[in-house]
Amino acid sequence: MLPVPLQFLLFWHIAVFLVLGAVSWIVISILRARIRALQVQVITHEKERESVLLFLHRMGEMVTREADLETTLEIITEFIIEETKASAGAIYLMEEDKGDRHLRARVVRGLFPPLQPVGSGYVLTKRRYLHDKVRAERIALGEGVVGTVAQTGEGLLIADAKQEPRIPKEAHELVPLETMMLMPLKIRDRLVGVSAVVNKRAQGQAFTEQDMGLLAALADQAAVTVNIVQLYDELSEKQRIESELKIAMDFQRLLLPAEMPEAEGFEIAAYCTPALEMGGDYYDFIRVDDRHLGIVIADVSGKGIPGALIMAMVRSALRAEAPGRLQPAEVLRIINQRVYEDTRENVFITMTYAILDLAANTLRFARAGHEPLITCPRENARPVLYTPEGIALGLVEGEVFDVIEDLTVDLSDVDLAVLYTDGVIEAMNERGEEYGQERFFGVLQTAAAEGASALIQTLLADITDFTRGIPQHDDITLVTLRRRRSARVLEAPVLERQTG
Amino acid sequence: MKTFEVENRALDSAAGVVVVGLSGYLDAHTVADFDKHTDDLLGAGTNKIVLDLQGLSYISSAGIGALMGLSQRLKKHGGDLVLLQPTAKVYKILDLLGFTRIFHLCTSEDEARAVFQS
Repeated sequence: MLPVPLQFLLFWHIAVFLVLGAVSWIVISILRARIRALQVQVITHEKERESVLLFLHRMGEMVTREADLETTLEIITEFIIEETKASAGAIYLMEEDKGDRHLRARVVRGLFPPLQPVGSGYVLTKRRYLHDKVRAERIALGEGVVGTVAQTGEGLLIADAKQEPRIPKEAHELVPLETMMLMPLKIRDRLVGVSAVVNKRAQGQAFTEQDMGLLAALADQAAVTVNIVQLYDELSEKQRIESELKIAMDFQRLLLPAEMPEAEGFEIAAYCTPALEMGGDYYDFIRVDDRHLGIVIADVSGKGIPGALIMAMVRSALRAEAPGRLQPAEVLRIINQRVYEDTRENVFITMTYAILDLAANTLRFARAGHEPLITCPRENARPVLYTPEGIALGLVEGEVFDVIEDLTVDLSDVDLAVLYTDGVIEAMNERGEEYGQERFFGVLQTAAAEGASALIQTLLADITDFTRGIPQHDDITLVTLRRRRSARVLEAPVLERQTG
Repeated sequence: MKTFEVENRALDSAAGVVVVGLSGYLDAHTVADFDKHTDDLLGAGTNKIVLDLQGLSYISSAGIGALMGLSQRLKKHGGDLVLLQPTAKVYKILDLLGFTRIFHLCTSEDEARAVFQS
């Protein structure tokens, strides 16, 4: 083992490298997905695409220099002002002070007014004093325009600011306000802050829906970037490996799908319990087209925040590349190329990507070094393993990786299809014995007929029975699916998701 | 306590091939020892390594990452890495990951020596 300070230094080094990669990847990936989906509105989105690409580039430059929160926010604010052709802007972040949650402007640029009523006789002439005033405001959720956007989680376009009752009169006296846009910075449903811009640089013009679209795209990227940098800021203060891992674990949870997918005629269940020590598992569902659902399960070799960031990259890359593609091996080849270019030599990911054909009742999948796909035939027969050729992602490029192959499994005659990570069979009891493949198969054989979600419950209960509840070193992740049988529809449980 | 041991023995000193014997657990906790040991060898000019895995009872993903890193560093220095006699359990892990396609796997030292001569 390395001494802790050295370990931390090493961690930091890897982390900065990965943040750069992650930010780039996340931004590009979301962007690519957007481009494919919105080809109709080429012109508007071409502008958004350019802006977001440029944003990515700036963030890349920033991260290689320094990754502190203030610098990041300054760059983001200036960039947003520039791209939306606004004359001023600010970023408000959520803060918590003794249980009181409020928003505070962390960065202000240009002639930006305080948005709370200013005491009388307070003459703010110099821009600096104006900024100090804006930064000193504590805005409650629901208060004024900023608080409203934070509370509703929806962007707000104010074409004519003079007609907006939620902007105090004094604000107009300090800065002639013509028009304004506000956008929440959020990841999934979690609010990070609010971005606001005022007044177009071209006088007399109002912000439009098109400007809002651009701001929304930029806010999307900004939220992820700010969140990652915030995590790092906290780390450098606490400098404790345990809290790093805890943060990574929370981040990992955040990356799991919020809900189970709609898949008519199928029952799908999934479970993931991140372990403190190793981390790195994830699963996801991607709508490929009207008839196909993509199902992903993966295990990233890195632990802690580097692992979580790689997971974030891979997840974005898949979500961007999977729609419209029906050959899993082809998708994994594309993902591998991107992972290979952007990760260190000793980092790799095992992944199975399966495409469920809702009409044909088949599962086509490719396996990049991941555990086999298992099907449980009817009548409690022994589970069947499918292990097509495939090398883990990030290890080799091009031709060597191309051995990966697709395999199609017919689901008509099976009780259940199961995807899992090695944390399941490597679960350990206090004597250091592994749960093992045999015991795993035993449970599958006897309990598969119970259904997708019931099988997971039974399996977890048996694993806990084996480990006697001692903390596990590795994540345990399971995805199960089966065709609903018409005679059984009534007893089949509703789609379910659990996280540990 | 899960142990990990790493030791050198020359296989073919004329050709500069070093056999490194691993035993115990190669995982996130022991990977730093492994990296340090192999870095020292590289620093001393070794670029051909045979990893004897007979005594290795377990390898985690961190361990696999370390093997991959070592393989690439050796190749960068004009050498290569050969894996010798992994146990059934370790072989299964390597095979599942597709490593058996990337690495030279040998069942005897003679075979390992031949890899470097070819």
